[in-house]
Amino acid sequence: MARMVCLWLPNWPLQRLRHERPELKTRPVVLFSNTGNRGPRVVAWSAAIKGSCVQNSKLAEVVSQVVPALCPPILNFERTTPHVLAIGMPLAEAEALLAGRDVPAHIEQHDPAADVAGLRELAHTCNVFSPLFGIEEASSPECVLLDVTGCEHLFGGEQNLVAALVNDFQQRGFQVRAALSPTIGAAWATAHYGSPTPCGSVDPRMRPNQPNHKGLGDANLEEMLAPLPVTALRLPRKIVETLHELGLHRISQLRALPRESLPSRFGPELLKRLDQAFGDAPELLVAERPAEPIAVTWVTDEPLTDRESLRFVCRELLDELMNQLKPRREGVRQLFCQVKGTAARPVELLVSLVSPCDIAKHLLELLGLQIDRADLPEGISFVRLEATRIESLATRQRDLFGLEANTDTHREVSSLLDRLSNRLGATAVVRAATVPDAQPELSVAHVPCNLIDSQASGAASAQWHSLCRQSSRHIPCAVATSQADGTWNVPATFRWQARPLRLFAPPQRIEATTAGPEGAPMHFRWERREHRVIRSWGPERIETGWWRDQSICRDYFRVETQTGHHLWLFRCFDQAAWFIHGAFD
Amino acid sequence: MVASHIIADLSQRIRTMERTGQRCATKSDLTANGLPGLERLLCEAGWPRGGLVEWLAEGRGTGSMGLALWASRAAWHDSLLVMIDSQRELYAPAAIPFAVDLSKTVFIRPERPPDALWSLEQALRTRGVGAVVCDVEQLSPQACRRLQLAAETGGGLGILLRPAKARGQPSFAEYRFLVQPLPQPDARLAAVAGASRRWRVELLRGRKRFGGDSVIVELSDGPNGLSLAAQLASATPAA
Repeated sequence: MARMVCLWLPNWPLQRLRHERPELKTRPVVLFSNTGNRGPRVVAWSAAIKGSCVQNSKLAEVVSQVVPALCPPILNFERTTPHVLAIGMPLAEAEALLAGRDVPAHIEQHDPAADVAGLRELAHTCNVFSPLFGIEEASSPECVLLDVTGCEHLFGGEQNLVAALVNDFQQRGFQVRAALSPTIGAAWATAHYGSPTPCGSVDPRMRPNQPNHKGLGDANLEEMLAPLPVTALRLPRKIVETLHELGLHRISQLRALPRESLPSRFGPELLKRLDQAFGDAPELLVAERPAEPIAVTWVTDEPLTDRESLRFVCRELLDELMNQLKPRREGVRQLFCQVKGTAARPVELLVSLVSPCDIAKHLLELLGLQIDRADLPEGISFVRLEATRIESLATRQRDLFGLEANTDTHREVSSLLDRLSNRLGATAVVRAATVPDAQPELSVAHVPCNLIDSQASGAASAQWHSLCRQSSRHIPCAVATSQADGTWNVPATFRWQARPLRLFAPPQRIEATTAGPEGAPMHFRWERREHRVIRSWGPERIETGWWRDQSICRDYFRVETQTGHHLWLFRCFDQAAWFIHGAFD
Repeated sequence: MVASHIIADLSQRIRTMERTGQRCATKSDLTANGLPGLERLLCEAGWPRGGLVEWLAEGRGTGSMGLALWASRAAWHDSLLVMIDSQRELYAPAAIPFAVDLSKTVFIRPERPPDALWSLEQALRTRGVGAVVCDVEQLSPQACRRLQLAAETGGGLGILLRPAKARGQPSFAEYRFLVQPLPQPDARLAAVAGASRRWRVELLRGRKRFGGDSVIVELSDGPNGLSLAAQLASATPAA
């Protein structure tokens, strides 16, 4: 008999969002969808929105009124905490209800495709438990299914297997419920509506260290499923409502009805689901396949001696690689190249791209830039190229500096950035963003243009966009900037000549004579020349808090020298010295 | 009207002949000059697309870079600006008042001077790059020619910031300007005018005209950002 595990991740869209962006864990989150023609509607929301109780849906209301015991067990989870919102509520109403809270709610559009992709990715991590894994077939899947037939002895019994599975997910920060049953339908039902065991898994029939499955025969299945509500059968909402209208709430009540009459009364779906749950009708687990690595290898007995031959080999390999990728309509985002010589350690080169590419020539050019600089071993006898990151060419519409995607210009610019990043290093090709920090040298962040990791790039691009928003024309609010006369001055507007175009790092120490102890400099010596100050503006005090490791306290002056040059000097109070920090170039 | 048409046609043909490549300088080949007053030094109404402009200045803190950025800001209006910063000194927030949109700007920070030159050429050769700003200390005539050809291919504007000692070197740039900061003459203004600077901009040489002319420009900080100081909008050539 088959052994199926259903792993339910309640409220998966929210779990996924919070797993990807941990900063949302402390904030209420509302997801809305725009699919209907009645404007944006709430699809999911998180806890931390508590208040007067409004039931999630009409269905839940009916169930709870009629048979309170049939409600899904309390999970200490968002779906069952009292809420002020309701699924299907107009977004505007939800916003109005949430207005005026201490923590502003994060409102985002629901992305069903990302949810399915995320669940699929998660399913792949289950391959340590079973070679056959997949996700449930539903419009918005929330379950990972595993066929663990014959796998339990590897974990010392079924209970241990399920416990290990649940533990694995919990350690990664997911909230899960798992159940093991002979059929997918029964596993789904118990995962959703069975009574939970301390470890989070659900299987009322499971006995520890009992590897044979005979204890869980058809009779037991019947006994297990009978008290569960009809919603546990994965039925469309409409059928459930009809059943409730007829007073049919439990599966046992359905089983008591004559089997032949069910399709004519409720349609074929009900009987199919019922049979699937009890194992009378087959249900296939559509298994996810692990992606095969796309790699090509070249081995020879006669070692290569020069770079030119290596390039030739690489070209051949890249052509082969592209032929593998072409039918999939995918491009390389990251390419890993391993070159082994006779003795030395293998040389490993990594080519990262701004956008996916399926042109062997371009990849060869990028690889060539690295080959030219690499310290290659003597006598190369092994070359391996692997596409370590692949992305779809068609669907990816990256917004690169506001250029329209998939145009010639876009391609040329991304190719330029690829070349620059691969020759100069990723940290040398950057975008800049202002950061709200009073200390000038810390108030700018440099973000590499080709971030490869999707999670990192998502986070970085979110960070980037938030930084860009702050930086329109305003310098970020300083932590503590005050005029020397004691009045507080927040430099709200970032004006011309407020900050120099060139900032020296680190500031250069100079000798200066001043008008008074707090006064502006009058003469200073810099780059082996005397400079006389004819005009000066300031002081602008920039001071950071004591909580910094290295707090600063500086009085900045913009000075004009007798030659008309404008420079940015400061008096450092800690060291009682003058520094030059920048030039208004 | 007929006469003016003929003149326009003839001057167009002259320009076509003057251009090295086959491309002719029509209006679409020009980027607006953002610095009124400077047009006295230019042959056409703006900056050539696909050309180099050199801005020479003595020492640091002259303001030449800001002036160059402000004058050519139309070049990266709807495309990418590349700033090559081999000294790792450029302070991005300070470029915002000079119409630099940080979300459409790439900073390249090469470690060696040959890499800077290579990046400059690569960026100039790319269509979609509106302008490239780079400090260039040493530039051989061959390298300069390469840059000029790269700019013609890509169609962007190459803004080369160079030291004043480069004035004697041969060049393939469309224009070579020398920027000299002028101290504020008026002591009364000096007390209040924190945000105005003036420069003498001298055309050392141009591809299509002789150098020697100069103008005085002044920038001041108005409510809508930078503007040309009013009294200098009608400045006469000073040299």
